Amino acid sequence: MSAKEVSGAKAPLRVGTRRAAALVLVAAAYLGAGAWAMLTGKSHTILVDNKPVAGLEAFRLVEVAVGRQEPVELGRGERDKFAVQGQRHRVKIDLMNGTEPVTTTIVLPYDAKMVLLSLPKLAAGVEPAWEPFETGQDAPPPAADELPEELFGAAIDPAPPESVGD
Amino acid sequence: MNTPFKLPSAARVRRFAADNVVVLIFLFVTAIAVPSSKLSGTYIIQDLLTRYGRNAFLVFSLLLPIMAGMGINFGMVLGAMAGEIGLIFAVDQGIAGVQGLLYAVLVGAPIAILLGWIAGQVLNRARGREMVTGYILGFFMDGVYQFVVLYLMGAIIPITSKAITLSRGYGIRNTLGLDSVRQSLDKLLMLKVGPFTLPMATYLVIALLAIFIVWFRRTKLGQDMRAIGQDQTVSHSAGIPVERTRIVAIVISTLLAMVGQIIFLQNMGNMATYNAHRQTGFFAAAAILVGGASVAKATIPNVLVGVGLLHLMYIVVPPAGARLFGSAQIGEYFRDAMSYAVIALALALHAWRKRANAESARAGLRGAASGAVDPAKTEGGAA
Repeated sequence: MSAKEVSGAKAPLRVGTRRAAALVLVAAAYLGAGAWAMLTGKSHTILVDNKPVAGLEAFRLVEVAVGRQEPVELGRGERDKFAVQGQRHRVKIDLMNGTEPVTTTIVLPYDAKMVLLSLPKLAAGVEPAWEPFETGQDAPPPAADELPEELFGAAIDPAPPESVGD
Repeated sequence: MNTPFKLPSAARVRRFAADNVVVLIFLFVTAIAVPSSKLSGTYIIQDLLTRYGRNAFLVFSLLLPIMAGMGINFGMVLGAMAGEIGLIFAVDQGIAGVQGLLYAVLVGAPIAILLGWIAGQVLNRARGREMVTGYILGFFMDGVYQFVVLYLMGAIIPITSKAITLSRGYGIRNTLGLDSVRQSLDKLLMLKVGPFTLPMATYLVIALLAIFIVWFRRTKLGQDMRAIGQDQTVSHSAGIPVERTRIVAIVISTLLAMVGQIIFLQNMGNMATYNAHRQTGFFAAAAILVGGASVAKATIPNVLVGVGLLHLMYIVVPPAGARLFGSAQIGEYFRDAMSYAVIALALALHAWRKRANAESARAGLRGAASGAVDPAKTEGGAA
């Protein structure tokens, strides 16, 4: 009599079901963790821009903060940047003239690496206040970061030495 | 009545010295180098604390294969490569912070499991020669890694960031900046104690791994591994699936090495794409052996002591070399030579002990056999 017959036909099925359930749980946790990491960890650069745009005047002096980061002060026509993670961000604009600071939330698209956020537009409630910003160049390569020498063919297979003659 | 003070016998001292020769040599060298380096105690301790966070996880990944009798898993570089591939994707996708590290782990995990399974299969076919086979397997997989990263990434495997791609349009740059994930785990929970800053989140991860290993040793699988480590034939006779258990040990070790390499690189802040993994197995092996482990037995204290001692030497020897010989380079060469010497010494000691044990066992059998024969002779003699 085999061990399976002794233990009964239902036992392997139960083990199989339990294993399948565990696998489903692991797969769900894996996908869930991956989705969380991608959505909350995706980095973006927000350029905060205090320039006149679409008939809106730039502010004389403004203090702007994104999320919990340190606020920056911008004069008329100035621009600065914030490196952020995730898509939803609270932006606080203080016009520094005694009025209540304007606080608003912006949602960035997942694939936007860099956006230009117009402060006059944001303060005036114009939607969307941001637009994608393309630099046209993507980190020009420093020569030192090219391939290591030993990966070049010359190092692996050196040219034969010139004949020296007798 | 006073009990007479009993001095340890010479044999006992010799035995202790033989058992701990690696640790003793290291202590001796470090004891000379520490005052010569003229480094302040605060600097040395802070650097040691940082290096614990950076390296301990990698060294822990060697424990399970040793427990399963497979020696030092030099094939852990396969896991390191998987971690690096994960980091390449995290940087390419622009996923930053701890989430970037998690993403790298999630990308690296299936690769590490696959590579670990392949390594386990190969090592099962090279029984008794696991260490050298793992070492060479690492070299072989390094070639595969180079092919994938140098030719397939950007050509077949989609890489979107031009910042990490070679100027020819495919392949990954020689050096990868990890600014987006740089020290993100270390800085998650920094604790300031006096003049020292402690990366508590990294320590927590290492502590969790240590707890996992303690727990794992008590599970059925852990007990099986220990049994296999002691005697594979007996374990097989007892119904333990020897080959499968050895593969599991290597898969877990490769997975842990993958995570360890990610923790290591996030602390460093940049990655030598084609070289970062090459020395991983060597440094981890040197650390665990310096801690008093052998290729047949290793414990958590061995890891902790070993990381401390090895890195203490790494910290103090270059400045000591600079002061004693006028060149820090000599210190650098010396510490590398010492690390290789430790591995060589530990392997030689292991072989020597194995032979000595076999000879002593044989002598015991001879004694028993002669004991069995002697009475007959005696009887004969008596007759």
